[in-house]
Amino acid sequence: MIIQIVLTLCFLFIAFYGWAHLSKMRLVSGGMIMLSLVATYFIWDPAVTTRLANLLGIGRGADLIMYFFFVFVIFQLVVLHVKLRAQVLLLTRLARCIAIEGAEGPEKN
Amino acid sequence: MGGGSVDRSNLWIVIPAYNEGTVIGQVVREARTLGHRVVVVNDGSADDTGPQAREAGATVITHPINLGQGAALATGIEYAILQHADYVATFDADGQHRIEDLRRMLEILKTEKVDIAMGSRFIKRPENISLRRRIVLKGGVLLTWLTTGIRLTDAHNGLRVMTAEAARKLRITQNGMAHASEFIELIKRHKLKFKEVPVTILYTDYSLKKGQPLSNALSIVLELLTGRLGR
Repeated sequence: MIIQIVLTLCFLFIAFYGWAHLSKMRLVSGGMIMLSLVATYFIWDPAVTTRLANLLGIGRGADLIMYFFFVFVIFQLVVLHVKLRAQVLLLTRLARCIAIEGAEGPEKN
Repeated sequence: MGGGSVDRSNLWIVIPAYNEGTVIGQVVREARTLGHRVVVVNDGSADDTGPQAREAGATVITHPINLGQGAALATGIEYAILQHADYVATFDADGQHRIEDLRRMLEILKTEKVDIAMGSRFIKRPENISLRRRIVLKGGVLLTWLTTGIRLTDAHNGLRVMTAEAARKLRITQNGMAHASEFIELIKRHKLKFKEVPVTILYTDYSLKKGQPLSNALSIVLELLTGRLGR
């Protein structure tokens, strides 16, 4: 029971985080909210994961959860990479502006 | 070296440089023999690359941090465009390229009315190139063909000459070595007319030491694949 409460609070936090960023990243935030609500349901009715797993040809509900978790982590890594690349591009533009502003002509010999 | 009459075209030669203090002076002096302007992009070097380049007669732009060769090229090209260049050339800082090849490429650009002339070390039979380097470079050619459909003989040659109009379209966003492949992708996207021109690469102990290790080929593939995710 305690672990169910702790996990529920964690997923509710994730859902809240997604909701807070809904205007900026509609698809990703929407996905986070949906997944968090689904995960919370699974916590309180774990038998449904086994029924779902069987439908998909997987033996155990726990395995299904593990596979989805793996896909979720890969997805998050991709999202993180895209964000980091955007930051690098901004940083490069800034450095370029500074560099061009400070261009030095050849030494007068 | 630098034979023929002085060409009065408004050409800017862009040389990205990182810790090339020992050779940059010589490279800049050679580049200036054609009478064109040279801009060295000092990519956060820890040595005296900047002062040496200025002393040799180049305009120097200094990145406040090291960003990579792709970023340095993009900075230099942007600067050349701001200076109202009619033509822009890219030239390596390690002394591997010959200014005579650049002169011929500029002539070809004008007479054959192409947008960009790209150097290739494989059109003529190259000498003094190791089997490992040849395999890596040919791998780059294959990757470029698979990703763009454009078949080149040398996809990672830093010697290029382009019109200013082409330079405005070739906005590189890959900061690292994947910029060479990005160049080709942009050429295809903007339907630019290009021609490969045989050039000679001068392999010296210095330039070979500065060359890219095999492991960089793998990181280039990763940069290209992940770069597409950001679009």
